Amino acid sequence: MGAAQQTEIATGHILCVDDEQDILSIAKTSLEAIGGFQVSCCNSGVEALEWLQKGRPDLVLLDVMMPNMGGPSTLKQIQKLPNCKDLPVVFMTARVQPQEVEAYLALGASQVISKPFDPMMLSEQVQTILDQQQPHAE
Amino acid sequence: MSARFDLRKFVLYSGLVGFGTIVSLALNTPYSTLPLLWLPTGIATWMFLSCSKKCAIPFGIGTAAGFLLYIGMAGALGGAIFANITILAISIYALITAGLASRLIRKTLMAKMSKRLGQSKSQQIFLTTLVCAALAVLPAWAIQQFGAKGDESLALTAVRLFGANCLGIIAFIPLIVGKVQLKYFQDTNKTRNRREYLAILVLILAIFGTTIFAWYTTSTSLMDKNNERFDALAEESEKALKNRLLSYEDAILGGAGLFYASTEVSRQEWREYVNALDVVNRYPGINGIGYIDRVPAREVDAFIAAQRKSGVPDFKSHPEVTHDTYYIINYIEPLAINGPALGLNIAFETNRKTAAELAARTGKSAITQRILLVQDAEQTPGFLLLFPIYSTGVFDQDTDPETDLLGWVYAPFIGKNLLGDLTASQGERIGINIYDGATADVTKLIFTEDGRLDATPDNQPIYKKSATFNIMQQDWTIEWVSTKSFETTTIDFQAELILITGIVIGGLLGLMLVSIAHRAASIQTEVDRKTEEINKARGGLQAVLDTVVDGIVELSSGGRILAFNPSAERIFGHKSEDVLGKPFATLLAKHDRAKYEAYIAASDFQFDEKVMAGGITISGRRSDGTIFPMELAASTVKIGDSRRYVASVRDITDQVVAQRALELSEKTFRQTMEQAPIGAFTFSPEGQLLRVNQAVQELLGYNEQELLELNLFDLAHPDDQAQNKSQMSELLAHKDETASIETRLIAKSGRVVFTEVNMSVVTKASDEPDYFIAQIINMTERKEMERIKNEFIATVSHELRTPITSISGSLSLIIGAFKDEISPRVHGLLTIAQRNSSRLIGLVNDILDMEKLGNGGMHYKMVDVNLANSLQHIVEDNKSYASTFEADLVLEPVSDDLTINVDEWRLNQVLSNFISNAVKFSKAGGTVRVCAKQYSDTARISVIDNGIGISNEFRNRIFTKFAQADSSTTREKSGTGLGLMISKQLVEQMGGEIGYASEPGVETVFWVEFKLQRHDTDSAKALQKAG
Repeated sequence: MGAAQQTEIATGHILCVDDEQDILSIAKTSLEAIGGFQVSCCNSGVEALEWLQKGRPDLVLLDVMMPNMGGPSTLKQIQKLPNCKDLPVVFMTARVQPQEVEAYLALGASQVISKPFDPMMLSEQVQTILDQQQPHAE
Repeated sequence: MSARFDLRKFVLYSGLVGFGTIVSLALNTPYSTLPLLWLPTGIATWMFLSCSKKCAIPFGIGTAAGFLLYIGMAGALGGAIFANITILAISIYALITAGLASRLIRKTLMAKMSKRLGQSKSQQIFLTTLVCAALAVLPAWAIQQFGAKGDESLALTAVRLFGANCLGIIAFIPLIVGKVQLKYFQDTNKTRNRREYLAILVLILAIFGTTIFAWYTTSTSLMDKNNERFDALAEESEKALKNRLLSYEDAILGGAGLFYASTEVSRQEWREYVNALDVVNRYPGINGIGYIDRVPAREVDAFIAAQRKSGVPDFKSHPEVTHDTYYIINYIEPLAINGPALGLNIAFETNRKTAAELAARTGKSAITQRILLVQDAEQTPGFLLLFPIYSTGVFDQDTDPETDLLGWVYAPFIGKNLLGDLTASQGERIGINIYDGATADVTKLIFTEDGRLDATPDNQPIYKKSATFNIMQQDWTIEWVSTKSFETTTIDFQAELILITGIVIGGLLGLMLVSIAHRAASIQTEVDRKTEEINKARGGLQAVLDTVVDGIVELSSGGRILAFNPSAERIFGHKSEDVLGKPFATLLAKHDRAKYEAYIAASDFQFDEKVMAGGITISGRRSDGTIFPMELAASTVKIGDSRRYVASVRDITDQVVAQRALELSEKTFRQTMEQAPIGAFTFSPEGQLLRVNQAVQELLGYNEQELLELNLFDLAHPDDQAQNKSQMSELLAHKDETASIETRLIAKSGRVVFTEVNMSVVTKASDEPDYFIAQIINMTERKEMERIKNEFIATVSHELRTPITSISGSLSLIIGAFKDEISPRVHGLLTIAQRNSSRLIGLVNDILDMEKLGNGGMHYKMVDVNLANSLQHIVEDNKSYASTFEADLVLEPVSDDLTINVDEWRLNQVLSNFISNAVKFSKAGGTVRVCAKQYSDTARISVIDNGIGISNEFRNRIFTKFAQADSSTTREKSGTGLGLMISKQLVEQMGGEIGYASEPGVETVFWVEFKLQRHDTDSAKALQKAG
């Protein structure tokens, strides 16, 4: 599968935010190796906000449970950034009860990806979200 | 006199009577004082009638009608009739008065008498009869004393009225007796009716009898009166006749005197004498006065010659017969009307000759028998009056009629002339028939009033009288007969009117009484019918008495046993016949008898109020001497004046035992509750606390007093109150015996206490909830523990998941994306690591699910799911997993119109669990099939494999926690053993069913079934049809 897929879909820049360095590594590896995405990583919400003030990715993968500033708080701050309008933010969480998912979507999240995620499938999921966002972006 | 005094009726009736009285007085009839009697009689009648209101109206109308009739007759016919009708009217009232009197007597006097004489029925009847008879006897005696017939003086009339009243009262006695019998003998209805009708018949007959009596006496008295009048006329007539004859005799005697006075009476002198008498005018009926010479046969010729010489040239003796002695009429004046008699030899005929010779023999006047006078051209009967003349002077004892008789002065009479106008009334009011001789022989009629002498008159006179007199030595029979005009004056319909009125009034009264009796009878019939019903009901009651569980004992007013039902026999062990008549006290235990005797002592055996009201507990004594507790309740039954008691007896031995057990149990319960370490309390359905134990007080910090004023619902946390109430009402509605609710209560300090309240309903006999018994468990600590545990599990799960995610992700990437960079040996080991990390993830997920399912934290997002699509995705997602077990996962074709309402994600979880199990237990290269089919209104989704199946021993616990078949299988299995249990709970919480069927080694099927979404199915079908 590998090579053909990579070239085909490697079009985006993904920002991964998680307090777990290992998770970040796996996500980064997976998205780069399988999806061919350009991946940037931040260890906390604060860091992510700082990063986002400088640049704008195509999509943000945001962990929910993080110390100091959790996912939802971070999302609110992101939404306030002028350059991040219409920026798809996807939550990654172990909490995927239906009402939890609804709550996240209500906050403005584009999608919720459950943890633990399958690194082999992650790129595909992300691509699907990007494809859906495309018309809105235009 | 049960009726109350009705002033209006009294005034009305009195007014009516008074009016009648005034009218009667105004008519000024001879008996106008009599109606005064009506006033008291009327009032008495009214009193009698007001005894029965139903009778009052017909009686009132009847009385008024009779009264008016009476007034009318009195006015129309005059006073004479008045008295007799009054007799009748008063007779009727007398009956009523007698009835009233007898009632009063029976009620007052006899009530006293009967106390002395006893109350026997026959004695009462006897007494009644006696008293009523006395009432009747007094006037009867009075009438005997003063009731002389004759002149209708006012006093005598009054006596007659009394007589009539007396009769009435006597006639009333059978009625009274009948009534008494009716009162005292409880006969059958028919007999009673018969007696009543008999009494009415007797009454009516009595009225008729009285009427006939009145009629008879009236008509008799009238007849008597007329007879007397007639007799007076006849007497007058007789006197006139005798007087006339005597005066005629005087005339004759005058003639005789003439002869005695001079030796020779010339023809001329005789004529002058007779003329002087003025016979025609002064002696009507006399034909003339003459002189008859006695002439011996040898001297006849000389006598005739002498007479011819004296101035009667053609004198001759006639008829020409020969006798020894000739009696020749020599003189007869006035000659003009007596010519043919001159010279008549009266000896020619026996009657004349006999009378003449009788007179001569006796020296007294004599009259002949009936003769026909020769000088009477009409030849009507007549007679001669003869008086003898002797040569020796006046007849005395020396006179020898043979030698001394000279002749006779005589007068011929023609009957009709003499007797036709004896008195002024003759011919007008009275007629006379006079017969010659002592008998009324038609052939000897001298005179008849109508002049017909040949036969008896055609019309039979009403009044007739005859007498035989000896008039001048001759028997005359005189017959007086009433004339039409006399009879007319005697015609009087008084008696007949009495008869008619009596019959009419009697008949009306009879009809009225019969109708009343009939009415009474029909009422009686109704009463009898009701009585029969009551008797029937009593029969039913007897059955009840025989079968009722309680002992029923009937007691006399003296406390003696009158009746004893089978249950009473059973309770006391006595036979009914053994105890009848014995005092009830003998059935009681000795120590309680005193208590019972106290009642008797208190009054003449009257049960205490308490006994009457609700019953008392008293000790009974059985025939074998055992004492037992019983409940005694009694009620009074009044039958007429006598009083009885019905006592109900219940053996309460069992009850007492049960009561004691209950009391013990109650005490135990109370103590248990009081001392229980957990909170226990009772409360009303409205939530009002009724009883609380120490533990509750400690738990909530209120004292008992405070708690009993509080409502359970108000104690609850405001957020829980609505839920509590709905749960309570559900408990009441379903009548569940017990229920458990979890609620937060607020302690006095304001602290929130988590509690579990277990309660059960105690219902009343009527099945309505009485109160609740509840235990309260403090859940605060347990809740806290649970919270900590859940938090721990969640944390642990989450904390576990993060490293596993990393491990699993790394391994997946190595094996998937970078396998070219590792040796096959490493690849194999990494594969093992990856599989186990996946298993670890599944375990953590399952534990989290379990935790949620356990505390109700699982939430579902129910949506309509089209199975064709959904199953397609599920199968796709699991294909790669199946391939790791070298199993082929196949989806059989699914119909497009199967739609169910589920949480799609959870359905996926369940089916994935089925698939993972199926592939794990399939043989290598086996096939796992997924299919969905419609079963009536449900859709069943099945996962089918041909693996080893489920062993019998495992089937029982396949859906339980940590269930895994004993791992004797050839292939390595991974799993938590929670999957099926979680699946079952998920499916059931989503409203579906779960199940399996397995034939080990052949086929194993796990399935879930959900209701089809009918609406969508229908619309889908509709769409298909439209397409």
